[in-house]
Amino acid sequence: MQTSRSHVRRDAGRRTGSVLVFALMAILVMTVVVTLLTQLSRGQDAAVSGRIDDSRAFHLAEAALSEGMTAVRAGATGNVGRPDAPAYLGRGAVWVTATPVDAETTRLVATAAVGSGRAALEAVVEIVEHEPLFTAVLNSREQLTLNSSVRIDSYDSTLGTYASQAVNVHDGAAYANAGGDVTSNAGIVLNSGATVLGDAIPGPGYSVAFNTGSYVSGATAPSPTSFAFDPVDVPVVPSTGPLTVPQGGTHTVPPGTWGFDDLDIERNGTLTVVGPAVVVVDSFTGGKDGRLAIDASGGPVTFVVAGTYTVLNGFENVPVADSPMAVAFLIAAAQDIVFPSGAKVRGGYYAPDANIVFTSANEAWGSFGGNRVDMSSSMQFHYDESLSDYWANQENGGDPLDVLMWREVAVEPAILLRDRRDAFAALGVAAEDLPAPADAWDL
Amino acid sequence: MRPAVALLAGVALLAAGALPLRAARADAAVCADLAAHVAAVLAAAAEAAPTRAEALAAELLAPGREVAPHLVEALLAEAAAPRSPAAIDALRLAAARLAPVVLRTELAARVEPPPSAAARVEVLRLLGARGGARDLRLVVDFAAPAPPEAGVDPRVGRALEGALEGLLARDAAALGYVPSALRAAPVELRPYLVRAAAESGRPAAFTQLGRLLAADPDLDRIVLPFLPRAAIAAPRPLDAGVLREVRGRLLAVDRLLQRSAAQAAGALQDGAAVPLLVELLADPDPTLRAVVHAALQRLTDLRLPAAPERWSAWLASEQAWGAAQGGRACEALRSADVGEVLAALRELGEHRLERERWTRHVAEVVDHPHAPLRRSACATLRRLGSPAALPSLVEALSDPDPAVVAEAHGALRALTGHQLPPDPGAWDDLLPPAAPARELSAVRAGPDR
Repeated sequence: MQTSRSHVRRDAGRRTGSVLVFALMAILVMTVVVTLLTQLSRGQDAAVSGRIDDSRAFHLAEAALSEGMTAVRAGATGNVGRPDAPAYLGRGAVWVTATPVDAETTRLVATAAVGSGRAALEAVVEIVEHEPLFTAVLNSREQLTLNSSVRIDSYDSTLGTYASQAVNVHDGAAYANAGGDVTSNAGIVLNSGATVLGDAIPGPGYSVAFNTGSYVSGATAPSPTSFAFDPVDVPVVPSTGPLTVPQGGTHTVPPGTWGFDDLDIERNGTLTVVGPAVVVVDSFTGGKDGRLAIDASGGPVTFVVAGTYTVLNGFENVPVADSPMAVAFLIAAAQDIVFPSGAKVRGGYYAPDANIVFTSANEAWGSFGGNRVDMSSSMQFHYDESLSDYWANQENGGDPLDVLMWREVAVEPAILLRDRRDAFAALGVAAEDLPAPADAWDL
Repeated sequence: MRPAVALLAGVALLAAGALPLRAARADAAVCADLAAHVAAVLAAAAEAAPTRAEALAAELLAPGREVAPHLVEALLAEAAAPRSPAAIDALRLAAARLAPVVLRTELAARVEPPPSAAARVEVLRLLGARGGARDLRLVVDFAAPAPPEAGVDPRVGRALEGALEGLLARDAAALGYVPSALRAAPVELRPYLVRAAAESGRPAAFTQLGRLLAADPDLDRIVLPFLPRAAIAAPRPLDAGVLREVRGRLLAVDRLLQRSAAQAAGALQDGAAVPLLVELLADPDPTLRAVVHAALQRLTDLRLPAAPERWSAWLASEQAWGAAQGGRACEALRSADVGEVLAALRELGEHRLERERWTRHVAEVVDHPHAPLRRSACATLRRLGSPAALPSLVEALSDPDPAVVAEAHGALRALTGHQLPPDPGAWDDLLPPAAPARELSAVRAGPDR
């Protein structure tokens, strides 16, 4: 049986060569597997890194879009940088492309590239022109009747006192400027001897009626639209409690936003408010012979009164030396606002749901808008032209920009989506050469 | 006998002299009692809750009508110096329950000297709630400025508006008293009276105020601006005499009056004013030109620029067509040939100068037996744009053909600006009513006749 042993000896020699091959094959397979696993791991890392970069790009695109909206609000085109000359923001590159849709509407597309991330957002925005809140000396929702011998003109408190500007003469009486407009959403009646040195504009479908001896120097055609007496939006400001200025005492409120419960200036007390300031109160009471001194040299002063507004005989709002009389009372409540006999009234008053009553022997410098304005005979009203510069009708929270639509869109140019190199390399720009977004506006 | 007779005569004379004295003493005693009664009730009211006002009012009135003078006196005093809500409420309720003639008598006795502004406000509220046509003069008396040079007190002015509104709403005959009230009223009260009449919603107010134009030139500047408000409730066609008076004021020397007249002519849709308005487009006063231009656009719905030559050319062409072809086109509307009627409708729809006249003719086609012609008639009425079309269009909402209904509905929405459903009942409120004969005759029978 030698044959089987030699057969086995021959077979063993052949089997030794196969093991090497199998071993080599095993090593090869292992190498391939390891390589695949390595590449898979690298790919996952890259994907995670890419998602992070895309997320960063999304947020940068939002920031860029906001920059474009800021530019539109400021009257610029809305373009911020260009694809070939972007702005630098948050280690990435951004640009905004603005396309006008119509006179008031603009389409903004903000694109951002950071690392390998790419994102683009589109918004359509509209500029809403808010009419100034104080455009006329008297503005009423109901019929406006100017009592007999009432005289109305205008002046500009930024140029000094009314007396210093009243250098013109009409019908034997001095006046400053002929910008004393009166408006109403209903009709306007000028009782005997009433004089308006300005326009008298009634509401749509209404007219101006003239009693004996009355006169309007300007236009009397009705307005095509009614004034939107929007409600007063009382801002939420934490209150620091009541503010009381004691009898004969003084107190100063510095610039800023302030909240109080009830504000009470007692008899002969003086409260000075330095602008720019917003003072939000539950109620306002001005005691006999008290003073509210306004320093609007640095900015206007706004009182927002959620409840009642009450002033007693002799109380006055007065400007500090050389300050314009830029003070406004925005009154939310519906109770009548009554200026007592002999009151000298200064400032802008907007009380869309309240009636404003001047009882007798009053004189007023400013602007008065309410549900209804009643006055005594022979009153004088002087519209302060500077008031129209400070306060707008508070539609849309006062923001002139309305966002009509917002969405994610495809990144343009499309090659950026394929080329996922570093953003600056893909765009062919150097980061250190790029301006900040605020410096990249296309005016 | 003679001494006895003389004695008897003397006694009789004495008795006759003593009776009035006794009666006067009795009256004074009653008067004092009534005054004391009112004072006592009011004293109780000072401590009472406002919910007791009804009961207190009944107590005040318990003695009968004799208490009226004291009641009214107390009301005026309480209004001037209020003590408690219950007292003033009780007095108001009690005064409101007095017979109108009693109330009028008592108030008339207290016009002079003028009470305080607060008291006058109270009286005006009372008259507004209870008064009638004959109280209009009393309203004016209590609203009159006191002193005269003071002007209208703001609170009294507001109360006056409320009183006039209430009075005119309650009594249609009050309109007839407006002219005499205007003549007696201080100048400052005239706008209040005119406005109240214009906004009373009375169909006869337009004619009544229009008569004031003819009767009193001083009232022109007050009445003219309110005529369009009065016309809202006036029956159509509007009083031609009033429209003629308005047109006459277009040539006034007074610039403000001219402006008011131009505005009124546009608002009243007076097509006959168009030639005068076109002439006024060449006026040197830019403010007047602007008002006239707006009036022309309103009258014709044409958006031509404010160039006199453009409007003159349009006017000449319209007048020429109206004279030469208008009659023929209106005749063609009655043709048996559908094509001819359609052509006439199309032609009439392009001419705006006499659109109210063409509207009346086209409106007849809304009843045509042929549905497509009824539909075309509604479309033509829409193109002409005259408010005179409203009644026919509302009627067409009941048409059996849905296409006619749709066309009429679209025309109504375009002409009125209202988005109401295609239901005739929904549109009835927008139609100017026909003035009830009773109301017109009540106005005509007023004290000014």
